[in-house]
Parts: sequence; C-alpha cells; structure tokens
Amino acid sequence: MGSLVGGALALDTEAAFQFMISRPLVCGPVIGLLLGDVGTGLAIGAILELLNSGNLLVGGRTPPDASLATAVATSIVLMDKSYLGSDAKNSLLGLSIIYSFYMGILAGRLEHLFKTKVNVWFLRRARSYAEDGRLSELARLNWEGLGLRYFKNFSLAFVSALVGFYPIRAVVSLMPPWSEGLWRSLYLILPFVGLGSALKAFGMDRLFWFLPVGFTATLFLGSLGRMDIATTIILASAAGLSALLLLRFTFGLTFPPGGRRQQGGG
Amino acid sequence: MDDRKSVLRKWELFKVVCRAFFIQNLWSFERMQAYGFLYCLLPVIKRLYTDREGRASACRRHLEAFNTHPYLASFILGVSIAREESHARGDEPDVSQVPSVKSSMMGPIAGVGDNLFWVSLRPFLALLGVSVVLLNWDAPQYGLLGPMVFLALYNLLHLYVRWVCMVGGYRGDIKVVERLRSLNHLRIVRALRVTSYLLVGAVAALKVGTVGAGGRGLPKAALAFALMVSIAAASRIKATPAKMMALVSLLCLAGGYLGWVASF
Repeated sequence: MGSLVGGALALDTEAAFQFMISRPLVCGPVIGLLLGDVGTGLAIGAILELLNSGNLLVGGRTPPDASLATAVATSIVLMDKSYLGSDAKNSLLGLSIIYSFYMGILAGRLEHLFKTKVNVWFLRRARSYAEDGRLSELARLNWEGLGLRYFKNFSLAFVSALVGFYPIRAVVSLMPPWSEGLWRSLYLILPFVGLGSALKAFGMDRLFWFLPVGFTATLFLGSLGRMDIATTIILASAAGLSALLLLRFTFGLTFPPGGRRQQGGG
Repeated sequence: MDDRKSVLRKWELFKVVCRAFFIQNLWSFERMQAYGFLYCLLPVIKRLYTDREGRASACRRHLEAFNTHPYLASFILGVSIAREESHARGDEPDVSQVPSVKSSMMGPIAGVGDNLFWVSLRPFLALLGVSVVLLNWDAPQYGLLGPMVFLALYNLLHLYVRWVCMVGGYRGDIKVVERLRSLNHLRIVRALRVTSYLLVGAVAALKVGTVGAGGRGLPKAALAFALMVSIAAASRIKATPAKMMALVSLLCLAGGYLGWVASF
C-alpha cells in the first residue's frame, strides 16, 4: 500500500503537477495515515524533509528521490507495528531512515539513467511522430511515459521496502544492549543533522549570523520559562512574511509602504 | 492588441493550462523539456493547422531543445501560442524565429523561477512546516498543521503564478516577468532568509529543551549547535549528504559504545 501510494506521489517530484505533495513532509503523513499511524509518518517525513531540503532540482541535476525514501521508511516501520510500543522503536526508526535515505540516493541515480536512456527513446519516437504530424500519437507518449515512471517508482519502493524490512527487523532484535543508546541518540540527533543540511538551501553568507541569534534568544527565553513567546514571535513573523510576499506579487504592494526607489546601479 | 481576431477558443487555452502541469514529463538530457513543451501546445497546433505539413512543421519548431523553470514556462507557452496564432491568421508569415525567441527567454526566466521558488520559497515554507511538526513532536494532531500550512501557502502562490504567466505571455504583457524578477531584489526575499535562519536557530533550541538551573544543559545545547553548524559547513565544502550521514552514524556508533552520547 505504501509503495502504491508512494510511487504515485513521487510522480509529483518532476513528471507531473509539482504541487509538492511529493515532499517528505506531506508524503510521510499521507502514507502514515494509510498504514494506520499518522504520527510516525509525520516524524519520518519531517526528518527526511530536512535532510533533503538542500537538494534542488535545478538545470540537469537529479537529486535523491526524497518521496520514495519516505515511502520506504514509513512502510518498513509500519508494516509490523509490534515494535512501536517497545524500547526498540528508536532503533527501528533510526535504521529505517538511514536505510531509506540511501535508497533515495539510489532512486535518484536510477532517475538519472531514465532521463539519459528511456526518455531519450521516447523523444526519438516523438520526433518521428512529429515529422508526420501525428498529434494523437504524440499526446499518447505523455501517458506512456507517466505510466512507465509510475511502474519504476512503485517497483523500486516495493522492492526496497521488502529488501529492507527483514534485515532491519533482524538487526533491531539482535542488537546488544549498549547499542540501544546509540540508536536512541541517532534518532534524536537526526533533526539537528537535518537542520544543518537545510541551511545549505539558504546559503551561508553574512545573514548566517541570525542563526546563533535565533538559537541563543530562544534558549534565553526558554531559561526564563517563556519559550512559548519565542515560538509565537518567530512563527508569526514567518507566516507574516509569506503573506507579504503573496500580496507584493498579487497587488504590487510595496514593502515597506512608500514604495521602492527607482532602479539604481547594482 | 485587443483588436486582433482570436482564432483560438478558451477551451484550447484551458487545455494548455492543464497540460502545463506535465511540462517536465519525459525530461531528457538530449532536449530537456522539449517534448513537454510540445505536448502542452498540441491542442493549439491541432486547432490552428488543419493540414499535415502545417502540423508537422509546428511540431518540429517546438521540439527544439528547451529548458526553463516549470512554473514560469507558462509565460513562454503563452508567448508561443500568441505567435502561432498570429502566424495562422496570416499576420506573421515567418515563424522560423520562434525557437530562438523561446531560447532567449528561457535562461532569464529560469533564473527568476529557480531563485524565487526553489531557492527561497520552497525551503522556507518547508522549514516553516517542519518547525510546526518538531514543536508538536508528541502531538501529531497539531503537527499535521505543518504540512497543511506548507501546501496551502506554496500552492496559492504557485498556481497564481502559473495562471498569470500564461495569460500575460499570451497577451504579450512583459510586466509579469518584470514583477517576478523584482521580487528577487527586494528586501522581502532577504527578510525571508533572515527569518529562515532565526527559525532554524529557534527550532534547534526548542529541540534541545530548557537549559535548566545553573546552565546544566548548556554543553548539550552547544553540542547540538556545533553539530548543526558543522553539517552546514561540511555541505559547503562539497561533503555529500550520504557521506555526512555515514559519518554521523559512525560517530554515534563510537559514542554509543563509549556511552557518552546515550544521554543526548
């Protein structure tokens, strides 16, 4: 079930729509909901979203397939829920996320191969139909390509989940007692690794100094017992900025009021 | 501009808008979005040209190498539709320069779209959504607001831009792209990045939790911050996420064995 839905959602990455339903943050809870545990899907999705947020689909780059990775990790964890209530939960989550992260990289490589070989084959067919002005055959190629890509996504997610499921369960059940601390730590550390990776998406220039400002200010407010204020201020300003951006584009409103100066140098 | 007689019906234009969602399908390293672009224009070609040679010639024109930002490609689609319609009406006998017009627009438009959507808006809104999830780690019913906010805000702008670009391109309104380009240089985009840094810092601090009396939690907070900055710095020196993940796992393995990360 996870592979069926994950394969379809992964189409949104590049082939169709690009509504961002393929992002791990969305894909995780959707598959989690289908497999009966939204919370676990949401947690996996959030971590994988951060880990993959620096990967941009720009130009000819083919980044790792984050949605497939989310589908695989969520499926492995939720196929058998018996571990979720036990101490081994963190080990299972940590191992599944790491395994699926590498599967996402593999899926990205396969996608690259698809663009180099399979889509070029489709293009050659398109050129031959174009020479004859055969419009309906040209239109059909779109659906053939979409179907083939769905089959590739589904098969890869299904095989990866099956291949990973038993070894990961076996490793989790055979783990020595000392390693539980390791996996618990790793699972707790992963959000920080993800936040660090996410910074790549914003570049690291002079504005980088706002990072320690946000960190220390929140810690300070937290030590005063007012962490709720810090959270509210930051989330409200973030939502406000998004709204301003929308208004600026839609109605041509200037920010700050008074308008932008005439275009100068630079 | 408005006195021209339209050959195309709204139905064909609507079909192009719908097909534009598939512009990246069959993306290949040989001609990139060429097939996707042609696929979008098929209803227009079918309507404008009735003879086989006319259709074949239009298909060849739009199967040239093409690559730009998928959302803003709607603008070039609009421009191409207007050119083809003008040619079919007999106003523009020579359409051989249409591919070069497309090539001249695709670079600048890709730059605008990549900066606005891929580099600024998507990571920022995703971060906003993840922050909501991380702050409600033990309450997924509230955490679900994160993906919802992300999807709603992103797609509101995304769909609006697609529509405006298509209509603007068809009407020859260059102001649409100018308006988008101006966003990149505005302080609002800069403010977006500042807020992103503050947000990452705040979320990291909230995940660490309270420092506690006498600053007992300070080493833990410093460790978390150092880890985050090291990962960010490593990504700057071309350390791949795969290598970083392997390194972090190995460090945890060593730390777990020695017992000094178990209390993180």
